[in-house]
Amino acid sequence: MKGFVISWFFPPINSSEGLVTFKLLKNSGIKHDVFTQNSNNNWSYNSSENYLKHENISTIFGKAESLDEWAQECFKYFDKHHKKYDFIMTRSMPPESHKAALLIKAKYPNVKWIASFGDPIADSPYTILSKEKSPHRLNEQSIFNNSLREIFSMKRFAKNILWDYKDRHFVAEERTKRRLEKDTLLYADHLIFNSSYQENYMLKDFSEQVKHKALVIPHTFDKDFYVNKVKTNRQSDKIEISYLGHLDYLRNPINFLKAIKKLQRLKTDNYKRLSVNFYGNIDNYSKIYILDNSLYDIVHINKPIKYLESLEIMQKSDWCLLIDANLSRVVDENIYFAAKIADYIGSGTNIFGITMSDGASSDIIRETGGIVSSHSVDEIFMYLNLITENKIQTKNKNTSKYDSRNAAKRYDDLVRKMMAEKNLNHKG
Amino acid sequence: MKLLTVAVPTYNTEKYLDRCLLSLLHDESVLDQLEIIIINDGSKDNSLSIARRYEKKFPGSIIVIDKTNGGHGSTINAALKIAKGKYFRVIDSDDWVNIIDFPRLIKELDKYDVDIVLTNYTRELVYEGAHVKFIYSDKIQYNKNYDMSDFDYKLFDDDYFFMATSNIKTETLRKSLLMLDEKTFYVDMEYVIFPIKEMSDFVYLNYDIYRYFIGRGDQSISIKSMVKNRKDHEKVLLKLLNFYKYTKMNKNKRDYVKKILVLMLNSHYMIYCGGKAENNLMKKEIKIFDSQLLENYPDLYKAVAKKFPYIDQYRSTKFLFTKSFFSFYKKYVNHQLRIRARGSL
Repeated sequence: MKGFVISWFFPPINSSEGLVTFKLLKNSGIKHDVFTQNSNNNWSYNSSENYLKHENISTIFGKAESLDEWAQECFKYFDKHHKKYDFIMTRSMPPESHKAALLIKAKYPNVKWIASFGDPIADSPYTILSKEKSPHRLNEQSIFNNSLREIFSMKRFAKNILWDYKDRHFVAEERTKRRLEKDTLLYADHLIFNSSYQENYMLKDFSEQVKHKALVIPHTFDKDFYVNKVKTNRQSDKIEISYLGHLDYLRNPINFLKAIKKLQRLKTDNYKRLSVNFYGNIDNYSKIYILDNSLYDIVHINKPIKYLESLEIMQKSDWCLLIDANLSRVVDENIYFAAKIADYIGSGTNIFGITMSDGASSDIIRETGGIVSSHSVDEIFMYLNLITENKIQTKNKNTSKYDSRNAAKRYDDLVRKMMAEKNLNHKG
Repeated sequence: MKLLTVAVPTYNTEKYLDRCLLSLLHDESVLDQLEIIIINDGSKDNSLSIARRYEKKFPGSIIVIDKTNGGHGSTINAALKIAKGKYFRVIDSDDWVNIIDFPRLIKELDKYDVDIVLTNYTRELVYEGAHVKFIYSDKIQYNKNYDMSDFDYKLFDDDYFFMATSNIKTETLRKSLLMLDEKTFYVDMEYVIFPIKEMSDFVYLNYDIYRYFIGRGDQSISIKSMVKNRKDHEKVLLKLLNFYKYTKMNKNKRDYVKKILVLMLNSHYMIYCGGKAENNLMKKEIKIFDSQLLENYPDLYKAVAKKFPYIDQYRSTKFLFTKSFFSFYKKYVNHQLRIRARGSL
């Protein structure tokens, strides 16, 4: 049995998305060919990464540079080689992999298709939160802050229309994404989500028939990627907290930094006991905050590093830090499960998560024995004190669910069940 | 000797209970003076096992009461029965305390022998990504003993002795025969008002203790919950109106209780006009309530409309005035609150 996997990101481009798929396929008992690309390494770990390979996986590189052309190229490849494959599996983001599968499904309706989702394609809470609203629209602020003249101003009205006009591309893009997401959910034979929160969010408006196709397979860690040794000898008596990954103006560490500032002011001894390292991109506002508040003696910003090196740093650290965006204005529960949490779990290091109280991240961190704080500065400050005073004990537990070997077994079971159903239908 | 008893009512808060207890227990130097009573109110999650784990670890400081579900009031009643602390306060299990100021407060409680020790608190507006520090008017001095019989309550503006700010002498609470309603929301207002007749003095300390976590949609203060639990609000309100009418207090205290009742009446009208004014059942309910208020408490009937003029307009339309106006009013009030909040961030 052989599967045809479509994923824009896949090693040698070591992005988080690609690695999630690689870990799953590597541990699967099924052989896969992966249609990917090796020209665009945006969102990847350090590009000089060792090429992650496995005998079960062959890669085919599309040459097209635009996503749409790449999807077409993928379809053409499958069209030519379709006899080699028993099923297809697609992985977003970006969602063009599903687009390629829709083209394939239109021509080969009997091909079984598993669609796996990283983030929601449309109506992503993160995108909704990041979308700048028109400053000219009539909202509460403008009603009470401005005069009647401003409220009924033709100029304001015109500016608002102009803003909407400029915004039309985003609206149209979102509409296209919505259509693609809907078609994928309807036409794929099976759907893989990384958490039940994501599943519920994306399927809330769909029938039971569609919901019945869903399976949750979480992001996973792979034991083979970690350095096989116990914690190295400590270089210092400081407590090391590491954050690995991308931060931006929405998913920013500002409240964490404010809590460190509070520690510096109110509990200097605890402050001196701490060493914080960020690896990867960090937003400018946070960088300035670190400088302005003289936190640079304990807070260090480091360049992005190789994936395997990042796992080693997780192992060496005392605490792995997770920071999620505060999406409370858009959703009551955090629907995102950052893949780094699975790698953190695999490292066996304590996890300190700053995330929404309800949602995927907080459930997983609590389940595996880590600690969770809301975005409140005072709460983070409290936990930093407990950490620096060694008053908090965490226990790495319930981790097997996030082991890629176990996740791959579930994936293999799904594929076998799907193929058995297909064969049964053929015989029938 | 236990100086402070903290009652921690717990109902299905396994996600938050650790945070609350870790904050209370952070400073070991005050554990001898601190008594924490965790009242598990029939939780269906792991709250009880978390509480038991802490009880085992801190046997001299933590007591767990496991009871069938009876609501917030029942948990406070249960804790008060066995409290050994000189002072008593309530910290809800989804909230926490400031780890710097809380031990300082305990260390200082020994110095005072007043009925209430007042402190500040902070609202953690997780939805807004902000926090708002609550401080009583700067006209009230820190560390000064105030006689409650002649204290000028106007200095409080629209504030009062909140549950989140009050450390009340246990003996005083018991003397006031405080028994809160069971299986009822909003009993914190009973807790705030009933003991007032037994109280004679208070002191205000500059400690920011309570962290009031506002981040869950199902919290009883959300307008949706208030509409759903409006009968509880009315029940508590009627009980307090009764207290106001029949309890003997000096004029000063009486005016103070009246001020709180006016605020509470405003909330009650807001539930109806901010909720679903078109709903016939609700319209009928508020009409009956309003006529009873006029008949039995004419002074409060007038006072609430004087302070909140929209109520007069609401009445003049025979409660037919629909949502739009009041939602506009509500937005205005919220806007003003936000401006205030920003100022104190």
